[in-house]
Amino acid sequence: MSSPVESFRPRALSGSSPTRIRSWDDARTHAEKALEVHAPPDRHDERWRYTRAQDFLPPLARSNETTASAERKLGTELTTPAPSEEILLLEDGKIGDPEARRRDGLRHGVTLRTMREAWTEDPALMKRIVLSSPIRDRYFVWWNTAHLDDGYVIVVPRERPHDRPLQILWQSPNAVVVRRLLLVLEPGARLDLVEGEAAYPNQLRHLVRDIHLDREATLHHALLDAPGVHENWLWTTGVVVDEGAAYHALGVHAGARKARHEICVDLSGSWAQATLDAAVLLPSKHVFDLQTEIVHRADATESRQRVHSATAARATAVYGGTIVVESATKGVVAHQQSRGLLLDPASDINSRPELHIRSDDVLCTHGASIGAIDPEGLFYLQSRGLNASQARALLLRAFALRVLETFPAAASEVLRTALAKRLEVLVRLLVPEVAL
Amino acid sequence: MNNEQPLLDVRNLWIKAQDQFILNGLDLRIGLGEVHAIMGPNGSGKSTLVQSLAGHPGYTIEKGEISFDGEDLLTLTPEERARRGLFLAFQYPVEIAGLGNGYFLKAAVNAVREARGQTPYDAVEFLKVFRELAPLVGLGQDFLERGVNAGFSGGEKKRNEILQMLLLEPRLTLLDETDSGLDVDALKLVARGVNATRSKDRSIVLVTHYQRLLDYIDPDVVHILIKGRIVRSGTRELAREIEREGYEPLLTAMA
Repeated sequence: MSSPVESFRPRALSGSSPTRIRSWDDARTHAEKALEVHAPPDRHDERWRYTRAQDFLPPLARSNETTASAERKLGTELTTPAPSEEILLLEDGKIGDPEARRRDGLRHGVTLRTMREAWTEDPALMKRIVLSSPIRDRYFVWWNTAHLDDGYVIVVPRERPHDRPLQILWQSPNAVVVRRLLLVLEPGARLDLVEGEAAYPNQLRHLVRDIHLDREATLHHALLDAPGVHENWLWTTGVVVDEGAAYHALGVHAGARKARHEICVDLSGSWAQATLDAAVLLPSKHVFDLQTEIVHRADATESRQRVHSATAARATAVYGGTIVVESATKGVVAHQQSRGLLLDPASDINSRPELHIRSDDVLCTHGASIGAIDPEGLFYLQSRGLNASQARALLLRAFALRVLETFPAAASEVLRTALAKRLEVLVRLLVPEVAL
Repeated sequence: MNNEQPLLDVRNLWIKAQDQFILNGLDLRIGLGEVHAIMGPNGSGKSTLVQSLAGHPGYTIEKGEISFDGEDLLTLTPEERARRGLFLAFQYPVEIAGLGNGYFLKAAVNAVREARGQTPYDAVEFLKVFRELAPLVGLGQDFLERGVNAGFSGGEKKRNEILQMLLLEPRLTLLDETDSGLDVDALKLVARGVNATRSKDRSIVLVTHYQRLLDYIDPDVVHILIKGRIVRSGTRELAREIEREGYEPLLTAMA
């Protein structure tokens, strides 16, 4: 039987091996051929039971249209930057602010290039990313490559000071948006990244991230989506974590009409670590499908996943969490926890742990629970003078903030503030929808 | 008890939980400024009584009347009871991880202050009041950053309850086995907090199994609750009698 990892990575295409990719054009040709050979994933794949591939496949004729109403919704305010910090604005196909490359957050040896530039200037780097990417053979990554105007490549060296988070805001009013980010942290580099998307009504957004953390590098990654009931979006994130490196991600998600995030992490070097945490707070009718896969390929690798999902009426939260521990690895630790809070009886939370343990020397735990607001907690708060609505709001806030509490303390204050602010916004959005 | 209208007047109270009667025609009157102790064996209905007074939704009032300061308590929600000055210190305080104590306490105090027509505290004012009261129960400022009761020791949870009582300034405090699980030092701290709130305007009901708590908080009246009714009332000497002889003689007499 094939492993889930293999099922995500179909056979290489005949005559179009990724090893032959040497340029931007090669990459696109390879992706186009792959799309000809492979069908989109269907519901026979357990990971595609709640969102369908068709939800993320637009008629291409729409790709250059802008949305009928360009009124921007939540998502543009990441955090209030301090004077020495800045938000890097990325628009599709170009860097939003021409001055961006010279801005403070990108100094100290950081390079920001378009993918076309990077393929020309540093093909070895690009080839390394393509070949090692854990998401390289996914249908929607090929789709992204085939339809992308251009993407961004950011390389962060060790010299860059740790204490200055980089903030990225993606925005475009186009009806169909295709985005790509390649982020490389060189050996010993450390970065706190706050990344968010601006939402426009009726948009379809695709974003593929390839993240490579070289030896001893550390990335704290805040992922903020923007609530929009009339949008569909798909994120696909691949992360390679080398020896002694650490990837710590915390997503705050409000979902959308159909929203999905697939994260695949390869712990490829000894002592590599990954944290995948998420607070999912879905207003009425929103859908968010989170699919994670952490593959422990080396000794003494550690991972932890903690997902808290709360759903208002007719909202659907999905969490499929896969852990793979490869054979012959030693001293692996993997924890996974999923908690669901049904704010309305007419909402859905689906949690599906999937553990593939092929080694004996493993400490692995998983737990899942789904329930309503605790009536004893509600009574306790009411007995202190808080009305039912205030009490529910506090309990919901506590449920969401727990994820932030356990996020690694080394993350910067700016990053934590951005996450906390977004959580507060989403809690306030949800409270009026909590069933009495 | 004085002859004025009692602060709390419970008459012929019958309460059901899960289709079983727990209280069977209970009567209780608490005057302003009085401290009453309610003792009784396991399952006699002590916690049911105080939780029902606080408005716990898990109990059904089948019959009876409860008046608090002349107002029908049974028509009020739990938060309305709290805002009018009724406070229950829980036997098992609920843990709410993720909700900071400071955030919670300020929200609770301000909800009550607003309902009483008082100006809500801003952060600085709240911190000032906290710093005055927290040392009474041996809690420091780091306690504000921790989740509500999450990971607290038994003693810390009980001290947190007493701190809330001090902050909310209730007219009637119901202490539900606050002494259970406490070592003697923690018990003294809790008693100090309770005694700090004693005044002619405030009343206290102590629910306890043991006479021990009454060494530190001197009650005006002691009641014995058995099978959902108060079967005897008396002075502190009654508590000592129970300590010596247990409930068996009373149970035998009732049989």
